[in-house]
Amino acid sequence: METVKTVWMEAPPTTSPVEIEDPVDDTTAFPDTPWVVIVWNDPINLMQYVTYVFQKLFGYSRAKATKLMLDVHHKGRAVVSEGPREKAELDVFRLHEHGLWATMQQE
Amino acid sequence: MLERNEAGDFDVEIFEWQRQMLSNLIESLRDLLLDGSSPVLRRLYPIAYPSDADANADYEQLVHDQLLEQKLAALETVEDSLDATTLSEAELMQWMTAINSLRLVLGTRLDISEDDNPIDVAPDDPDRPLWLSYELLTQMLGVIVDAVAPG
Repeated sequence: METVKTVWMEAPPTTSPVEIEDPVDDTTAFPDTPWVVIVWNDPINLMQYVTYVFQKLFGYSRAKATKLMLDVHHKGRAVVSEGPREKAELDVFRLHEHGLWATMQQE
Repeated sequence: MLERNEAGDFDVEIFEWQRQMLSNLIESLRDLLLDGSSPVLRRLYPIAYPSDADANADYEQLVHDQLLEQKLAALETVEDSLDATTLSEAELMQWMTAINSLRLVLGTRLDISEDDNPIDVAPDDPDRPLWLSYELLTQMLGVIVDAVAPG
């Protein structure tokens, strides 16, 4: 994780949050729009494990982590964090380290 | 059996057949990871940007080797501490990583759905040993999470 952070910090500040290739994508016009990190339901990860990972990674209370886990389970997905692209990508990576099915997008 | 002791470590007790099963699974997963080509590994390298192939390729390039090295390190720690009766918290975290990785790969291989119950698999199903392994890993992971989860 440290290495990822370092690579990002050393990267030249030239990248826009979304590469402008698709002119109909309105999100490209709002580079400051926060990114959201989404965890998707999957049939393998244990519910108690998912709750534990949310507590561990984000410092959420047991109650909040459980609610998010149940959202994932019943609604198919839940937003677990948001922020600038770099933070969102780091959160996605940490979730991937733990085997969770996480993606990020600008909303 | 897994219990935090007074020193903050974890007393662990597992059966010899469980140890053997874990050892075999670890060996198989290491081969798969080092070969790298099997589609059953896909859950270990998830997609970060589902609608942006370029961004995802960059992300993948950035994290792939780290994810791989983490899994291999976790497998090695479990192998080295398979016979231990006490695990440090750091070691137990590696057990968690290894066991969850094994579940993800086995679950992908078995194409598991939420309604599947490993106990219901027919005795003559050729994949039955894998289902039983999956069930063992599920139980072990549950025990570990219970032992380390904050209140």
